[in-house]
Amino acid sequence: MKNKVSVSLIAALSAALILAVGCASDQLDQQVMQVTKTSDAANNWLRVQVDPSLAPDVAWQKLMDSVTGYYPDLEMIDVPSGYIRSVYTTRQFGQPGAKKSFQVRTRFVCTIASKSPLVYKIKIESEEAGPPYLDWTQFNRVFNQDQQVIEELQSRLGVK
Amino acid sequence: MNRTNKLPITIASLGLLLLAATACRADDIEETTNAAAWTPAPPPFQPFTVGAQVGTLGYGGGADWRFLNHLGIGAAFNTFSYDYHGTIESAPYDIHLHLQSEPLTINVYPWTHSSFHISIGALLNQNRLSGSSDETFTINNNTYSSPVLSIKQEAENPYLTIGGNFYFDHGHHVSLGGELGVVYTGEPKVFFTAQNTSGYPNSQYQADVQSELSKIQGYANDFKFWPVVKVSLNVSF
Repeated sequence: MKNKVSVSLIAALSAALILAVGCASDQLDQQVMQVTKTSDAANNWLRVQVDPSLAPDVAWQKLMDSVTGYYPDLEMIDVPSGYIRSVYTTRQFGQPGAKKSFQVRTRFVCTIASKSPLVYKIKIESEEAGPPYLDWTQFNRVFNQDQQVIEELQSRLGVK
Repeated sequence: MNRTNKLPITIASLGLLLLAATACRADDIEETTNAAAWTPAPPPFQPFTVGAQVGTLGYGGGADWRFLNHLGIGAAFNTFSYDYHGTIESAPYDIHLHLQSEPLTINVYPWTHSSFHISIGALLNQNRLSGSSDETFTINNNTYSSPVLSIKQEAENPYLTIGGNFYFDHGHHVSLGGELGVVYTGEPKVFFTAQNTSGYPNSQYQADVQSELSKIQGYANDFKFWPVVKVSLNVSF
């Protein structure tokens, strides 16, 4: 009986040790996964065909309403071409300047692909760079908020 | 923060007195029992003890094996989770606190007839605090949004406690246990990020993130010495 208990105790200690070692993984990677998502619009044009029952000016108003809700600062707006570009949204991962640190930045871009039928094409430009954060390369994930705005636009403008 | 830190120390001091009294009481009972010739003398201790416990590491269970008069080993598992909305340094967060740890100890029993013991060992520590929100906030008067934070303590920590049991029965089978001590949790790992949606220059953004990181690191450092106060209900055999 007592031998069995001691074997159980040793097994429990070993299991706890294995669990602790197994849980150790890169914290930065976990954090990036937490605040970013994969998206069809990541560095790709995503076409949204506007519901024909929406007048073009109503569609534009809805588009602006959604976009400004997520991106308070827009770098460029051109109404005739339906072009919108937000300023970059940047996130620092890790201590600024540290060797393993990096930044991810995204911006929203949208333009009219076709006026009849009305089709908008939307893209989230997503890039990453290590210190000194000058050499930007494409990153295949977008921030969670970027994906939210894509889904909201598809829902509000798209053909049901 | 200072007031928060003093409370466990006060509790620990009171507990220490209680523990000493409990250990003495156990000895007293034993002497009284031995004086009765017609009652069989109880064993000085039962080698195996398992119990349910609650304390500053959370709640859970533990097991001890006292294989010699003056020596034993012990292990436990403690966990606790709590969600709340709060502010840490500059930013508001929906915070998730998760305590989970497993103390592994060698127990030294100075007296054969007493359950009082000193436990030295390691704490396998998976404690973490994480938080995020969609709100805006300011660092050095600059506005940022969607802060994300996580704090993790070091995975293995030195662990030192003293403890003892108050037995309810003559055969030392059922007891109320107590444990007091401290864990040194080391240098915490802090992660913080926030979105620069206002288009501040990168140099300013980095300086603000660094400033906030330093403040959070200071906050996390306040928990380097984690008090251990535990109460347990035990069965020994």
